[in-house]
Amino acid sequence: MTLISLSNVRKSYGPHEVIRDVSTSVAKGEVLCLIGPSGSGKSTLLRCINGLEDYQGGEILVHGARVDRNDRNGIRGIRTRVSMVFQRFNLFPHRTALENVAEGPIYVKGEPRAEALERSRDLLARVGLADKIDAHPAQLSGGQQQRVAIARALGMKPDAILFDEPTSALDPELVGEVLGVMRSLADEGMTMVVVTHEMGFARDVADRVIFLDGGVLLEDGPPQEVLVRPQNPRTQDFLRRILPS
Amino acid sequence: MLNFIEQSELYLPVLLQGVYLTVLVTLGGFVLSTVLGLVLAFMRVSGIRSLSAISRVFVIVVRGIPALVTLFYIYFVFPDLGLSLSAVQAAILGLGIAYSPYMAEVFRSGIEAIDRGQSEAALSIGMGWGMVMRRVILPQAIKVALPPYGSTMVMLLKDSSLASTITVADLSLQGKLLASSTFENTTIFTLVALLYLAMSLPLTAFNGWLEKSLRQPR
Ligand SMILES: Nc1ncnc2c1ncn2[C@@H]1O[C@H](COP(=O)(O)OP(=O)(O)O)[C@@H](O)[C@H]1O
Ligand SMILES: [Mg+2]
Repeated sequence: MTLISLSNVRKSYGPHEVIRDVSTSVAKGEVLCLIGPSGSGKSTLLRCINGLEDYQGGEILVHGARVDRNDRNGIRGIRTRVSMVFQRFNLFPHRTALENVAEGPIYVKGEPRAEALERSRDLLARVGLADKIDAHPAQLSGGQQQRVAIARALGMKPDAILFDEPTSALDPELVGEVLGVMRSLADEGMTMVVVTHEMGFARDVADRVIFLDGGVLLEDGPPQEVLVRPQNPRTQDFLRRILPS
Repeated sequence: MLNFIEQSELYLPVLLQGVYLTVLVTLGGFVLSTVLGLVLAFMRVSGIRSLSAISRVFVIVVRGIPALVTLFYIYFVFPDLGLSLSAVQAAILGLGIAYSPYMAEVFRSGIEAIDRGQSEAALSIGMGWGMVMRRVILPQAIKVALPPYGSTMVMLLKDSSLASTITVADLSLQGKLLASSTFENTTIFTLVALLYLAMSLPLTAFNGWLEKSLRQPR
């Protein structure tokens, strides 16, 4: 079943076209990794999916509903079903880990407070932070903050989670703990779209990998094909640079 | 010195009547300029172009006119337009309007100091604009805005003396009248200065306390 579909999506900033005619789709339970050089439009494409950016051409559908930033209720509905994890965590610094996770369930979804807090505690335990529920973000390491952010995304009971380079802002020794949580989500069947430079993760976890270059989608296929036997010379070039040989 | 204390006992009661009006005008001005400032700041950051433009123009125009002239305008011109206000009402309205651009800028800079990632994270869990402001941006922005808000309040307290020019018998006017009838300039104006200072100190202390109590546990 197709959860997210993009057809002929175009997006420009002023005269500068950053997404050029991109079409792809994400099925329920699928893990899609989005790779490509810096500035190729990966973040922009991801942010179009939950309406943090608008797009000028083509169509993005989530559950068959068109993503349209000007349709206020529609876009809020889509965002409650498609969560996002950011490169720089973007936790709410004035709230504890627990409050960060429970914020959406209580104030957006109107879940009963006690129930939402209970569930948020469980989610924090699931990402290995049972002992940090009362900590503020500033008291947590980058890896811990990103795990809270993942728990916050899960708190919305989303159908899919978008990750924008979730480990790029982390010290190298903290990358593993975040990737570990993401692997276990994938194992449990969560639908994920992941922008990443972690080729190991893409190879092991992704069902499909797409390669974006200059806003153009150049490859779309299983990791063995895209990462091991890329067809396009630009992909070959990119992988040669990023992969230790 | 002994002389100063004896004279003070004589003049203080009269000056304190002025203090009452100064406090009244100042408090009224605070409330009005804060409310107007918040509205202007929200309009400015609303993302709705027409509201943002109105706010911007209002700020430029009102800030470009001396508060004194705004007071004159309200007290002397408004009656011709059919709106007659008492001197105290006119002073409160005038100061509230004259100070609203400064308040707006204080609040706006506080709001804009908050990282974009905060509103994006809030939007991404399905919050609408109002809830993003209320639950995410404002609680953080208030910490940024508080120090400049505090200094603006002290400036407003001092500028409340402009009310004397439209016949409000505030502390400055009482002082002036008393001095011109007794010729005790030194004693009286020293007292007036000390009384203004005494009113500004609690404001400063209150702000310091607020800032401290809002600080995050780190
Ligand atoms: N807010 C913006 N305004 C103008 N140009 C932007 C903006 N955001 C991104 N861009 C441009 O769009 C292109 C794609 O950016 P981005 O999606 O962030 O790339 P990536 O995530 O792949 O590094 C880049 O050329 C970037 O400079
Ligand atoms: Mg990016």
